[in-house]
Amino acid sequence: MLASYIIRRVITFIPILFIISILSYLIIELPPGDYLTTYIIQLRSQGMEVSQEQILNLTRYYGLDKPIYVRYAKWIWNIIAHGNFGWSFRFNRPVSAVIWERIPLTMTISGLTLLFTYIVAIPIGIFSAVKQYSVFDYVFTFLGFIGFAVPSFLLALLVLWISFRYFGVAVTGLFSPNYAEAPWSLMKVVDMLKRVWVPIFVVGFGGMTGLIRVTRASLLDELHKQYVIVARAKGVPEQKLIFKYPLRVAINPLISSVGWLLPGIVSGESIAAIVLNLPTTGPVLLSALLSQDTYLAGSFILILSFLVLLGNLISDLLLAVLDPRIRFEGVSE
Amino acid sequence: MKKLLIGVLVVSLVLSVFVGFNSVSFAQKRYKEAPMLAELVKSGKLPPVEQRLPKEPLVLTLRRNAAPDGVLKTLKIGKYGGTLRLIHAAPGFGPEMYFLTIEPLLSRPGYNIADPITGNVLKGYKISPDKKTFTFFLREGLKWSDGVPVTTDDVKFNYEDIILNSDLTPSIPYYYRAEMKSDGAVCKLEVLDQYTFRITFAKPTPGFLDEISKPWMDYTLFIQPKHFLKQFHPKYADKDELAKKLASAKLLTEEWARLFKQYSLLPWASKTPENIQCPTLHPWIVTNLTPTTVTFERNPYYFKVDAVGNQLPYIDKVVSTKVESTDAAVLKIISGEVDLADELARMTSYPLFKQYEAKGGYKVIPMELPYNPTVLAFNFTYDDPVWQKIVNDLRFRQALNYAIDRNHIIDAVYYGLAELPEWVPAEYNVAKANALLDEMGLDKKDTQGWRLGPDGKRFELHIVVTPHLPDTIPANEIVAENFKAIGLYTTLDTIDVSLYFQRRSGNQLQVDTSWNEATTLYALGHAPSNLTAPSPLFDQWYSSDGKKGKEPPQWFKELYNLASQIGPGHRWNEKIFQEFKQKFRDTIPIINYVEKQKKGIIVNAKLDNVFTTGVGQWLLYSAEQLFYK
Repeated sequence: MLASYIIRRVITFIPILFIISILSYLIIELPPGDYLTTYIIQLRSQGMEVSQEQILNLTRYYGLDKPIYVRYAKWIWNIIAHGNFGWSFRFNRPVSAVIWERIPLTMTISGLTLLFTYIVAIPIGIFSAVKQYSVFDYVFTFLGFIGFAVPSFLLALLVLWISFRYFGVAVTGLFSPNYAEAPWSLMKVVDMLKRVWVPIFVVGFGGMTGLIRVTRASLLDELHKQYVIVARAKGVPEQKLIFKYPLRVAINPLISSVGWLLPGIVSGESIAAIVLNLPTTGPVLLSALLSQDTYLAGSFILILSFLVLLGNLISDLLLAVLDPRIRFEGVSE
Repeated sequence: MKKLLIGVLVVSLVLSVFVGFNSVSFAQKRYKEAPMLAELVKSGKLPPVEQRLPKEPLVLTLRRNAAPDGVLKTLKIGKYGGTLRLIHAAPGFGPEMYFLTIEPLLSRPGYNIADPITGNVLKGYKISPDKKTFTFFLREGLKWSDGVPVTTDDVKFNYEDIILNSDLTPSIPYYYRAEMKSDGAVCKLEVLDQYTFRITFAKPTPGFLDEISKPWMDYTLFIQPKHFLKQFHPKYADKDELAKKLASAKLLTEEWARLFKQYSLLPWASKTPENIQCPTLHPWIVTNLTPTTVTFERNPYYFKVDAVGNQLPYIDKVVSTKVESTDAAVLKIISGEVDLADELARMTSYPLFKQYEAKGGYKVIPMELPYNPTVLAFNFTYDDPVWQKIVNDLRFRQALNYAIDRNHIIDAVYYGLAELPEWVPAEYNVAKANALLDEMGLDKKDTQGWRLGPDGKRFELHIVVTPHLPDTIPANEIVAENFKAIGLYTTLDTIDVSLYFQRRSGNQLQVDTSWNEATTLYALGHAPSNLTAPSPLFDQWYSSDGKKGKEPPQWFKELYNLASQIGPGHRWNEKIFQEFKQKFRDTIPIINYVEKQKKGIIVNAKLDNVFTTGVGQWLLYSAEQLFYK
């Protein structure tokens, strides 16, 4: 029964992904011109002339002279039949290579950020709920809202500027210039850890608020319920009481949003990553869209959409596991 | 007597051996090399420097390598060593990194077309009196970066198997064609011997050398490494080997051209793990490629030496790091992590760069740009009878020209780093502007003070801009205000860059504010097309030989004729150039706001052999002369 549910859900992925692929391809192709027009204008703005014949050669080389439905059909067929996501004009390499080589670092940073956010935010949320209206509650709520209101790129710029101006440390990328081109080694990892706190802090700070407030609110909901009062009356120690009963129920809304973590980990934070000069996948998507690098952008969006669907499925399953009140039709107790 | 003879014999033998040794060691001392290469020679991994250099290497002199008007008084002899750190924005490609390594076949110092063209990769050339045949001489002993000699086999391979191959070159570019025209007949190649070849055109093409000596035209125009590339060409490659390679690259058999291009050095192509394997003649070769960095090391077979025989380049390594945004670039520059920057050192951060000069250990040198800043080019074919009547009146164009407060623009937009134009009158005189417009018949105004056109309705000037360059919007904002001040209703719209060019070619713009090179010195070869570009119907008229489009007025035709005589395919003619310039001033088809706009180039303070005037890009083209003090 569980298996049939999963299978049914997975089957619905296919039409959804199909529609998404068409939509995203169309939208990317919507602006006038194509990858070449912006590329050539860029070259000219650097003082290099491009002849008409070269433009023609490049157009044919990139296959941009074929009509849009032909290009779309070829692209989709390549994905389904060969697992080939197409060619990135901008990077001059296969799309899968471009995305794949950035995934490990993206997932590391996103994973660490996630960990940081959860580890810091949930206890704060719990504490805020338990000690409602205390100084702690107000202070952290205030800070949380500031972090939420300030855009991540602005925060990133501020951190960069303060770090440079007052500490003389230029955080110009994930690695210091010495290690940038060196192969992976322990020293390189250490070097990265020295600087990775910047994106973790910048992205985490903004993301914390939501988590704090949701935890706080849902816990507050539970804390005033009867079973808590009963447990307290029966003499269960306070800490054990909170963690064993209301918290489990309060976690519910957090679990349902776990599904969104999956695409988030893969795509990373785009805007802060651009400012902080991180070699992750987020900036790649943005620049692909700006330069109309169709296959790269389209493939990326398709992959992310798949991950959203998958993530939602996972969080639905997790919820069912966690909350005995939720069961699927046809599954007996 | 016998003993004497034997004695003389022995002595002369000894002497000759001694002299022999001396001449060998003298030759050995003629060329010197970088310590990092000397080590490799000692351990037997590299042949000695005399065998690596061609028989007649290019000796770098002051005017040889894009040095401008005598500012660099002496070309110093440098020291070996150091790493040059650059930045780039696009993956695997950046103008600094690209220009640094380009080696044209022939060398034209600077952008002045009148300077003599000398050999660079090629040793020299001879032009036939009828200007149809060009004989080129390769340097004997010139070698690819992997040590294989360069011969006319490589030239023949490029001509027959790349240029004439319709899969690799579907459309043969104009620089291989007669008169440098897109419809000219393709040139013919004749190989005379291992180091000499001849290019013949069907019609006299005196502008050929001008074209191929442009600083961004790499030697790959005529020479490609046959020994490396033939493994990807169906004519030479083993069928099974090629099939295997295509399969592993997930390509079909008929897509072999794709694979070939992946491994060859295409112009402006970004560096990939495949194309960095292709042997080159560049001063530095790519040795490492990561998603964020491109690392170059010196080419041990580079063909240039300095005046005392040191093999160039002086700098051992070049590393370029990718930056995701201009903010990141700015931070890198002010923290001293960049040794040479042009493209990403944007003018709007100029004050910030100056502020941190000492701390970052670099200098900000204002140098000229190779292209014109934003201009106002009139579209004489815009489809509106009122506009047609007004724009064709010289007084209107003169009035607009007088109304522009150029000094304000120079200060506000270009930080004082631009000059008043020479190509149009530079006087700022609002009274004259108003008088001319009144005289023209635009003296009636509506209730709000806007001038009325000949049809009695408010005359409107719509300026459309696109932010492809940082000065376009601010400069045009000031100009729009200037026009409003003389009673012309002016609007300013900003649109996306590809949409802009669509509208321009669709004849939908009254004026064209994108860059225009009709008055840029190095681009004078394309002055005719730059003159007609803002007016699409004139363009059509010329390219269809009068059958389509709109016929230009007499003055425009005269201007175009003059431009064509300094156009592609002609050698420099000072008299015609001055005539063209004067006629341009008199007829003002395009209003230059400012000229000789400068931009701050970031250079590490410890670098030497850096020239400080002229076009900034020249510095990048002559990087092999740079060294750390």
